[in-house]
Amino acid sequence: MNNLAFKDARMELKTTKRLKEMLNSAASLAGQDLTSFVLASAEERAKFVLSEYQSLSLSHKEQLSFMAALTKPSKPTKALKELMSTESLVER
Amino acid sequence: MSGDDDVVLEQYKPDKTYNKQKRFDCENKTINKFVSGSLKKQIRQKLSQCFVLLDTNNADRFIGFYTLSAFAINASDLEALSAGSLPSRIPCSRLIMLGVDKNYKGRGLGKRLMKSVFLKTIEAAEKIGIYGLFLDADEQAYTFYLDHGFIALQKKVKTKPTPMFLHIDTIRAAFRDSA
Repeated sequence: MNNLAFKDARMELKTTKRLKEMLNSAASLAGQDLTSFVLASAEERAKFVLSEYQSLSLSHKEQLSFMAALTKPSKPTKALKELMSTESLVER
Repeated sequence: MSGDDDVVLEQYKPDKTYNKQKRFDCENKTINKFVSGSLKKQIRQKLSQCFVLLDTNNADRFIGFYTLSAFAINASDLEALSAGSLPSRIPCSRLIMLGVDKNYKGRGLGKRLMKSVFLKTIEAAEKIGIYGLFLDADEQAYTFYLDHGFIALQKKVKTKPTPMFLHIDTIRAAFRDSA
């Protein structure tokens, strides 16, 4: 997070004494104040969750087998054909 | 079941109150919690779209649903590997969650919801161009998806769901064969 950005929103969080103390100790070890520490950690986690939600990244080896599947799509299995021949749900 | 179907599918509207949405129980804690707590918010934020299955004989009770979103598989080497015939980001539709209430199990509704997911994926491919359907399969669902032709994009491990993919052409072929 850009620390110089104008802070135009507010968050209040309830927590336990124990967790607050722990966060405080960790923040001072990291040389940050509590707010910066909590927000930076949450931001990192949020970025991870958002990127996981939108995309998946593959290793080189995984990409090779993915490419094989993309260029040579398999024939539908018996189970898939059976599923596709069930009655379609009516949509309203 | 044809003709006398007592269920109907509808696109979830976040401003509508659904009968027994909060009591939805598909015997999966994560999904139950999502339906009662986060579904409305997620749709409002446009993070996904949801289709709900309603029991028309029971005051449109919320008995099943699935959520879909846009997704991409990042494969930065693909472009080079395929000599430019594939992009480095493969756009897909993603099935996030699907569930049927335990009181309605054993009627093939889960499979019919899944068929609906496939049809939506075909529709999306026709309209905006996608390569297939992506999902993260739980341990219990893994074999089901494998049987239906999905491939694992990463090696299956015990500790987390397996990312899986089914090619749009395979889905289309299955649809054609069934028609």
